[in-house]
Amino acid sequence: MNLGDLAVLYGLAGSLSGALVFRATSGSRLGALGSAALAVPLWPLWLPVILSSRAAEIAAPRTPTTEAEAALLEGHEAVRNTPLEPLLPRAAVDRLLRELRRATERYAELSHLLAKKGFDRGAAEERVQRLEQRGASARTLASARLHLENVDRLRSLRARDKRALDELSELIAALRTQLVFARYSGSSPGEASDIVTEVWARVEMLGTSSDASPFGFELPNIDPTTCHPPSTS
Amino acid sequence: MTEFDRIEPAASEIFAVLDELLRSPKSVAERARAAGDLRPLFLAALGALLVGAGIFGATLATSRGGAQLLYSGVKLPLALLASLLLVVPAFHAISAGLGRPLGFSGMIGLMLAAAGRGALVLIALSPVIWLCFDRGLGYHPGVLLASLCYALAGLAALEVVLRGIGFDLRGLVIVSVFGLVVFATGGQTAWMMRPFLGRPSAQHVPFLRHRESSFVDALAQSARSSVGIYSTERALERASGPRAPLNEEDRDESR
Repeated sequence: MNLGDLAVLYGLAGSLSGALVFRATSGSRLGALGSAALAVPLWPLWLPVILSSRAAEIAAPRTPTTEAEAALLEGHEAVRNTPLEPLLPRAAVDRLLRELRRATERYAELSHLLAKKGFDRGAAEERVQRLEQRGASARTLASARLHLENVDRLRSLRARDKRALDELSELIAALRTQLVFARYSGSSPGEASDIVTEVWARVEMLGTSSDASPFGFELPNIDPTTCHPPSTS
Repeated sequence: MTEFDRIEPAASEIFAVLDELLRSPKSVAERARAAGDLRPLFLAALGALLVGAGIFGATLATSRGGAQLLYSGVKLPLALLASLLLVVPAFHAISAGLGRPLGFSGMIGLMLAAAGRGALVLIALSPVIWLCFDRGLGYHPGVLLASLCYALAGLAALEVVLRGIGFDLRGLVIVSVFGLVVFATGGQTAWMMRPFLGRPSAQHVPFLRHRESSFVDALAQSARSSVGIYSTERALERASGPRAPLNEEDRDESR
């Protein structure tokens, strides 16, 4: 077997790989063509990467947020290269995805925090009762009550975030179907436009609640070296 | 929409990986090891490799000029890619055999990232090469300078590989063994794709030279030449008797 024979075999394997990649990438024709073209000369490198990326995507948990992300991308795909595209351009999708991920991360952090022992509401309540029965000092009791209140505030924040994320996910799912419908029926994008406005409003609300201090007031900047607020003198 | 479309990498992500390639080899190595969606890493590293090696190849050919600029600009990325295609399975086997198994796609990502980072270093060194040739640097010092640039780029690439494999004794052993494979495979591939600099005295610029000997033969010949033993000269002397010594370019035609 000489170099020419090897080249023929390599090209044959590359063509088969290209066809495989093209068939598997049926959604976006241009993307599929590009991916297949890359697979022909570089199949020993590109094919494992494509297959592992696909496997990683399939193995990823399908949480409501990932469903919402998929719905957003599908909605954008439905209007891409159509007169409806300004309703949901790629830049807007990217920003929505960023905000959605940020809110989801915040919710996950809160959930993780509240699962810890120090944030257990039952234990905090029990401690307050125990201190009351023991006749602890007013200052000790006040601190224990403040701790309980803070745990309650954090729990309500988490519940609010969960509700907001659920509502947003439903809204995005509705937006997707509305955009698909508008595309295929050729109807006016009026309703879809209303939903887009509503989605933006909710995302803004999510952003506002993410930026706000969970304590209802701004914490002072603490100097990490002295553990004291900066001197005003 | 299929799974493939959902993971289609955005251009911004590719540029972010390109930035990581330059600034944070550790993040790139971790990304490759994680073996999630490696397409942005693959595309960014491939782009860096093609552009970086292309620019460096063309810069090398400025000593000769003309068609050699285009030929070298195309051949150097091709030589690097062909070497990568051949050595990645070997790296996978060596790493697994020596107790540091890594997923095959992760290994591809790591190798491409390393090659891409090396190519970016070559871009940075291109102006130096250009300046030196412009100031009249000769053919052989030019070859030495290019070798030095390859060594520097190799060190930058090595950092990515070591961070991916592990910065310890075992990691060093794996990379050393792999280095031998890369040296032999990459050397032979580049040897088959000569010339990259192009001889200033040559009338015609070939895309590829005729097949002659091998990388190992060339190394042996260079080693003999370095101690003053020139086989070409001796052969000519044997064939037609004593004659004037060949000039330096003719002695080292095989380089």
